[in-house]
Order: sequence, then C-alpha cells, then structure tokens
Amino acid sequence: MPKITPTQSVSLSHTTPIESIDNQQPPSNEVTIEPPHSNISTTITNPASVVNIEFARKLHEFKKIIEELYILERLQELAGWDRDTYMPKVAIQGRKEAIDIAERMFHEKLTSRKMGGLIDFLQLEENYSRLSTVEKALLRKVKYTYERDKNKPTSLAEKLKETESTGRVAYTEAHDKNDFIMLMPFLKKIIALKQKEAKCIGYRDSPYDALLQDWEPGLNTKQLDQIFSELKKELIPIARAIKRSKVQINRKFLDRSVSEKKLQRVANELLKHIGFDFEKGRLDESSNPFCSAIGANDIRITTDYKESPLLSLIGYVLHEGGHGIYAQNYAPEVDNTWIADSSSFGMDEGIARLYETIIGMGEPFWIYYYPWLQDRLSGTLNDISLDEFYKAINTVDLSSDILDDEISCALNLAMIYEIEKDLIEGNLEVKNIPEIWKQKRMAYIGETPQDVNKQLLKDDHWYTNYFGYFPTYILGRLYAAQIYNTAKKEIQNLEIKIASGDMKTLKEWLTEKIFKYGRTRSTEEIIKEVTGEGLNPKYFIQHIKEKYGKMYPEVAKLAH
Amino acid sequence: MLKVIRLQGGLGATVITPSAKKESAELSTPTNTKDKNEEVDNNLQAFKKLTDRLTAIGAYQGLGAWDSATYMPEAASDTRAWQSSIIEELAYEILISEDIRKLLEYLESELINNGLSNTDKMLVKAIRKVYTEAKKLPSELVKELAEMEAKGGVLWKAAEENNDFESIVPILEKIVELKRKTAEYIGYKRSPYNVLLDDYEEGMTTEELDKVFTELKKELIPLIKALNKRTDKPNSNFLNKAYSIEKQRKINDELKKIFGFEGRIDETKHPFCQSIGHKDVRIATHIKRKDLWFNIGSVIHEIGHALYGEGIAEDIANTRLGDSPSMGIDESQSRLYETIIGQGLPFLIHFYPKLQEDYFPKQLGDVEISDFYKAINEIKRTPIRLDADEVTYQMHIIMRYEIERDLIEGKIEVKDLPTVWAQKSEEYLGVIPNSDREGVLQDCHFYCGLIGYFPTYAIGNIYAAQIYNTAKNEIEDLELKIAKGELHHLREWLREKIHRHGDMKTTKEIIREVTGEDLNPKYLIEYLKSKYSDLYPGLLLERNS
Repeated sequence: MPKITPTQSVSLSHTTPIESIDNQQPPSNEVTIEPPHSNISTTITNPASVVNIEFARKLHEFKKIIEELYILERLQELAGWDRDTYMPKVAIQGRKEAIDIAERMFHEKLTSRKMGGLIDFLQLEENYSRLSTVEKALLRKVKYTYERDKNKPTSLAEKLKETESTGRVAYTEAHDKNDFIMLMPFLKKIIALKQKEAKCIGYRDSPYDALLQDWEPGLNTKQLDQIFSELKKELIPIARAIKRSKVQINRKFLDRSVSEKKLQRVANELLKHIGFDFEKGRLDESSNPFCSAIGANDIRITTDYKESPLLSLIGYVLHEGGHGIYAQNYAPEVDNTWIADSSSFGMDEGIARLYETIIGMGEPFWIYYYPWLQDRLSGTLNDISLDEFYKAINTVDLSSDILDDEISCALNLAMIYEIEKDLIEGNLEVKNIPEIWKQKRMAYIGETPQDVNKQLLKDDHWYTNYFGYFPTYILGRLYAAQIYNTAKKEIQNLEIKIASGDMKTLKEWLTEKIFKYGRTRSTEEIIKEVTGEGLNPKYFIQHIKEKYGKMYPEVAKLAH
Repeated sequence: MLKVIRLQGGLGATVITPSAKKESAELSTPTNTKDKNEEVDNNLQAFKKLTDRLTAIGAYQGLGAWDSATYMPEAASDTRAWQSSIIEELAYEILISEDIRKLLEYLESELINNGLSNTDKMLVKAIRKVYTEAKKLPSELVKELAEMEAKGGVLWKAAEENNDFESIVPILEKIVELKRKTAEYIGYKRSPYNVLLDDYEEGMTTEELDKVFTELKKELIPLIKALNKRTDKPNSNFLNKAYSIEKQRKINDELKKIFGFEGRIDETKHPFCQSIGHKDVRIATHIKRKDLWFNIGSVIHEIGHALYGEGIAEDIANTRLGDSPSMGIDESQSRLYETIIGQGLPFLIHFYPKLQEDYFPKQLGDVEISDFYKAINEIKRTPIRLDADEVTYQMHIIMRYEIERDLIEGKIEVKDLPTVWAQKSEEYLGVIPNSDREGVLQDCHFYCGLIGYFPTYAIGNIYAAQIYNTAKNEIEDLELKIAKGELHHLREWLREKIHRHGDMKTTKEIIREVTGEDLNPKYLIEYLKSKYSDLYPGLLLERNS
C-alpha cells in the first residue's frame, strides 16, 4: 500500500495544503479516516459515541467503494494507453471486452443501492459538516455521477455504449471514403438516443444543457449563446480584415523534414523545460495524441511526429504537456483519490491551451527557445529568423479545411456549437447539415468550403457519444487567456522570465492557484478565486486583438 | 446486477437469471423443454459473466505486471502495487460470492451438467477448484500470508545484499508456519508439502517426485563428477566480447521470425513472458553488451512460453481456461526451445552462419560452429543456480526441493538451512558456496512464499526431453528440418498436441496422451548423456572405469 506523504512530493513542499485553506475542517480529535490510498483505517478516539462509530463505519464503506471505482477507472486508462501505443492491433477485440467489463463493474458499483444509502447518509447536515474538503469533493463527484447514471435505464446505457463502438467503425470508414452522407442514418440514430439520454438526466431550458453536464458541470446554453455571440461580434470583423490583408507569410519551411530521432529528443527536452516530470511520467507515440493519468506518479502523454514534424512540437507536445503538468501536480491528499482530476474538461483544456497557444505560440517563449531549437535541429532552421518562425506558426489561414489557428478555430467552434445544439433541440435535420455548414462557414469565416465532406468528417465526436464536448474547446481558450492575464499581473516580469527560459515560476504559480486542488474545487470557484471574476471572454478577445494587430496592420486598424 | 431467483421444486437449486427485473422473485419450475433450456442458458450466461470478470481482472493484472516491468515510471510502483491489490480483492469477492456458489451447485447438478458442452463443463470444474480452496482458507490467513510474502521479498533483497541470513530467519519461520497452516486448512495426504506443490503442479506429489528425483540423482551425480574431472574445457571468451545492443535487437526480430512468435519483445531487468489476452502475448528480454548468449537464450526461452500462449485455441483463449494447466508443462515448452533446440546443433546449423556473417563477423568471424556449440554448452561448476548448465541445473533444483519439503514437513529448521545447503551442494554439485549469498540467499523463492515452485523447473526439463523424444518419433526428419530453419513443423505439432488445449486437460492427461506414459526422467537422462558424451568424448567410458 503506498503511503503518500507530503514530503514525497518535492514540487509541492512549499504549497499551502488544501486543508488549511479550508475553514470547514472537521474537529481533529474525533474521527480520523486515512485517505483511500492507505489502509483506510478508521480511528475512533471517542469510542463511547455510537453515532461516531456509525459515521466512521459508513464513511469507511463509502471510501472503500470509491477506491474501487477509482481503480477500475485507472486500469481502463492503462488499458487504453496500451491499446493506443504498444498493443498489437490484432488484440483489439479482447481489449475492448476487458474495458467493457471494467466499465460494467464500475457502473454496478456506482449505482448500487448501498451507494445510494451511503450518499443519503453522508449528505445529512450533521454528517456532511464533519467531512474534510477532500471527502466533500468526493461526495460531490459521486453524487453527481450516481444521480446521472441511476436514472439511465440499462438498455439506454447499453445502446449508447454500442453506438459508440459501432460509431467509431462507421466514422473511420466514412472518413476514409470522405463521404458524410453515408453517416447520416447513423447520426440520426445517435441524436435520438442522445435526446433520450438528456430526458433521463433532466434539464430546464434545453436538452443540450443536460449533455453539457458531463463535460462542464454547471455550464448551460444561455451562457454559451452569450459567449459565442460576443466572440462572433469581435472575431468576424478580424477574420475579414485578415482576409483582406496583404501580409505575406512564408510557411513552407514548416514542412521541412526532420528525423524522428531528433524530434523525439527535442520533444523530451522541451517537456522537461516546461516542467513535465519524467520521473513521474513518460512520452510515447500514438496516432491521436492524448494524455493519460494512470495513477499518482504515472502520467503519460503521447505525440505524433508524422503529420507535421515541427508543428507537432507545439500542437501536440506542448498541448499534451500542459495536460500532463496539471495531472502531475495535485496535492498529496488529492493524489490517488477519485478527485485526482482536473476541475473540469474546460479547465483541463485551458491549461493545455495555455501551454500550447498562449505560451507555445507566443513570442517570449520562442525568444529563448528558438535559438535552442535551431541548435538542436542542427541546420534545418538556420536560414529562418525568429520573426519568420513566429509569424509562420501564427498564420491565420481561413481558406484551409483544417482550421487550426486561434481565430478561425474559435469561429469554427461557434458554428459547430450552434449546429449540434440545433440537432439535439430538434431544430435542425441531419440531412440539412451540409447546407447549414456551408452557410455558416461563409457567414463566419468568409469562405465557402473547398471540401465540405472533409470538414464535416474532421472530428469523430458526434459518432462516439461526445455531443456537448466541443464547447469545452472554446472554454479552454477563454480560461487560458483569463488565467494568463492574472498571471501576468501577479508574477513580476512574467514574460521576461519566460523569455529567459524560466518556465518554473509560472508552473509553481499554476500549481498553487489551480493544479493542487484537483477536483476539490469547481472550475467556477477556481476562476473566481484566481482571476477575481467569472468566465469572461474579454481576455481572449484582448489577446487576439493585441497579438494579431501586431501581425496584420489591417487588424490593428479595426480598433480605431 | 445479478438478480437472485428462487426456483421451486425440480432441482431445488437456487437459480440466478440475469434478465429478471425484481430481486428474489418466485419462478415456477419450467414445464417444457424450451423453458428449461432457456433457464440453463440464462444461468450459464450468468456464470460466464462472473468468470469473464475474473478473466478480465487477470488480464488487467497481466497488463499491469508487464507495464511495471517495462514502461511504467519507477516512482509509480507503490501506486501500481495498490491498484493491483485492490483488483485482486475484487476478484476474490467475486470468486467467493453467493452467486458463484449457487451457480456452481446448479451447473454441477447431474441433469444440468450432462447437457453442458465440454468447455462449459471444464469451466465449471476449474472454478469449483479455486472456489473450494478459497472457501477453505480463512481470509485473515490469506491476507497475513500475502503481507508476509511481500515483506519477505523486501527483506530478502536486503539480506542478500548484506549476506545476512540471520536477519530473515524470523520472517521465513513465519512464512513456513503460515504455509503449514494453509496445508492444514486445505487438507492433504501424506505430506503437507503436497498442498503447496499442487498450487503449481496440479496432481503432483512428493511420492512421485521422490521416485523421479532419486532416479535423476543416481544417474546425474556420477555424470557431474566425471564432468568436473575434465580438463578439456572449451574456450568461451568470445561470448563476452562487445556485441552492439542495436544489433542484438535485430537478432531478436530474426528469432521472432524463425520461431514464428507474433507478439512484442520489450526490454526489462529480468526476462519474462506475459500473456495479456488472445493474440497478445509479450516477452521481455535483457540485452547485455558483453554477454551474447544471455539475450539469445532468454529470448528463445521466453518464446517457448509465448508460443504456448499464442497456441491456445481461440474459443477458450480469453476465458478462464485460456492458460497452460501447470507451471511444469509451461516450463517444459520454454526449456525445450531454450536448451534442446536453442543450444542444439541442428538449430545452430541454421542460425549460427547468420549470426556470424550478418551480425558479428568481427567478433565471430574466426569461431567455428563446433566451438560455438561447445561454448554455449559449457559445463559450469558453480554454486549459483542461474549460472548452471543443463546437467547441474537439475541438481540445483533437486536440492532445493528436498530442503523445502523437509522444511514444511518439519524435518529441518529454518536456522539450519545454511548447513544443510552446504552439505547438499557439496554432495550433488561438488561445490561448497563461499557465503550464504552464494548459497541459501541466492533465490527469492522461499522468502516470497514461492514454496512448492522449484520442482516445476525440473519437471519442465523432464517433460521437455520426454515430449521432444515423441516429437522426433512422430515428425519425420525433425532435426534435419530444424537444421534447414524449418521450425514450424515442431511448432505446429506442439500446438496441435499441447498448446491448443489450454487448461481443458490436466498436465498428466496431456503427457499421457502425447508420450504414452507419465513423468519419466529416462528421456532427460538419455538426452544429457548423449549430448555431453558428444561434447566430451569418452565421458561415459570414464564413468564406467
């Protein structure tokens, strides 16, 4: 049994423990329950009290089940990591079965009557008030998941599960054939199921709200409508200005080939520099890069060098590195518990975007790292100046089918959000998607798609049960800009520090402000606590205006 | 969740059907065959649902073990140990559950059992065995033993490093005591050691082993004495020249192809084979720059295990029956490939020219195949088991077996181990260890509770020779085929005769069917005598004079 004590986590030794921040600490002389990663022993110092014994016993039971849930989840994570990295392809069927079985065991344990009883008991005011911060957070997460899954009929859950795996296959086939139409019948089916699911979960205004809860608890369509209309209002004119722009940017050199061995070395070093700890994690390769948390001290990320060797260092390595750094820096009392997790998908994406986009596509970072990169790539980039490099990685390309710059991506997310919301609300029929897509593309980005099939088939989210997930991508960008804005205020000379290669200060600040809490705090709480206000798209817009105003004079002119 | 339904009349058994909506509903006895079939089917499905969970947990344990030995960050080892102990508990809970008990009773009732397919019958049998044992042992004893074994493993590392046997006497005494208790709970005939042996080699007894090992001792001790007298030792220094790691990796790919192994080869500290599921059997090796044969020998050994795993029939591969029936038969396959094939002349005729010309012309250019053959089969007079050659290896195992058997039977005491060890070492091997580190402390087995495991190594060697003897009789020109690099004849034969059955047959059944007799040391003795008198001309004459 691992004993994880604060002294083991060197990087956190200076941080304030979560408990001491929290003023609702339980009286320490009563009942002590060790965190689940120890023996879960229950110490009762006041044996006379029957109530105490009852409380301790139930809390112990509760934690025991959660420990099992957590581990069933971690092992699925390990199985998934292995499937996407080293597992022989022919073993896929057996692996799928093993993952399904673990998931079913998880579901049964979670939705058992026993769990329901324990939740009810611990929710009682006299019991709840005695829980520690970590325990309260556990209860919150369990309660949410329990209630969501409890009301879902098994038949619906099984059907959703089934469509997920068949969807992946159907998507792959359609993707290979570049044919969206063949997916339409399937998409209709999955939308109907999702609508049913939303009904089971329950909602007030829109069924889409119910689907959002899995990814960003508390978020609703009202907020999103507002955010996106604000973004559209500001970004569409900027996109138009860039379309008119006469600025010529050379991007060709980004396709230069670099040996994989060299890239691997650079990726490893880069990750070390930004604070990813290789003693507690690793970097591998997979065709779809991801970050996988297998347990405390075991955070693994992957990258893919093949498609775009140089850009993979930013888009994959720094992005997944951001996820990885978050997961490596939970407080010891959070690590190896079920709340050893980011506060939400949006926040997780926020940190990844902070490292990928704000830092990794920013000038200060490359002032230090570009000469370093030139040196590591021995000659490949010697004829390219820092300025040329910087502009190339930040080019806005509105005509591309794959929109991966900050501006077109945000606008693209706005249209995807509107379309998927309309689909779930029943305001849009599947057969009309291509037409609506073209219209919106013209209205927002200002281009008609070269290949509408390619664009519609870029992501597999709709076919693999990920309705409601897309908005977390935009939230991530907004959180990243808002958090960075505060970081600049609170850390003296932050950008000078970054330009001098100091990535540690920012990491420590983020650890203290965000990472260490894991899921003990909600994203809303964190954002308010850290930035002094709720989610505000203004910082992202500001960031875009400043950055692209410098690159494109036409954008700068808009401000006047 | 499984719902329990009480079935009235008929079999009187409690039947579980997964499809029922209410808990504890009453179900009347089915009157027609169709309903009856449906009932059997439902219960069988419920049973399989549970055993599939056990299999899946096994697969996760396998993956976790493979991962921790290959790619897992070292700092995560505590986390992994904890994860693994929790899912082990989950498996235990499933195994000893009321659901399993009721389903076993139902499926074992004569009327129902007769109608089951052979595979389903075997599945019921296999689960009954583990269920019964798990039920017999108090969970506190299981827990305490697991803790002591884990602790023993840690203490052993320190004791081995410091050459300090005294320090682990108390824990070993405790382990021996708990093992005896285990045997008492399970129940045994003749010797409590039989219970421990049965864990690794089902059906094997001290009676049978004593007989077989006496035979081996009678023949091998004089052979070892004669070999020890020989002064014509081969030159094997060239095996310790520098061999590029990268090239050795390429050789492993070549070996994969030659033997027809389809899984992964990774690198680790101690070589192993891990089966994770159907079509996913992995091996790991350790490549040493200055020890060419270490890697090659390890890879061929592990491939032997792996081909077993890969050969298990598809319909049972991802079930509880998708495993070899005992450690001994599993080891027979690895040893057959490693020693009889890998260290044999026919294979070298095919493999050595490649090794010499394509990979290491500088290091091996002037080494003749006969010299290479002699070098990798060099007789080593050593107190260390892992350094032993094919002949002395058996004696290393026999002495360990005798010691652990006597320990469990209470004939010797833990504190006397170093003395007993030295005596036997001298008698069987002709060497006395210089220290406990080279003696009683060299293996972790006793201290991590693997008592009853050692004999399976020797059993493996005996089976290997016995099986190979049949293979030669049944596959025409087998050794010529091997010399041409055609290893698939042997592989397919073994697959057909042994591998595909998985755990559907016991080791004893398989051996009897394949070779026509039980464990018989005669073939190993013959094989060793013939091989080593070839390598050392006149060896057998010296013995007789």
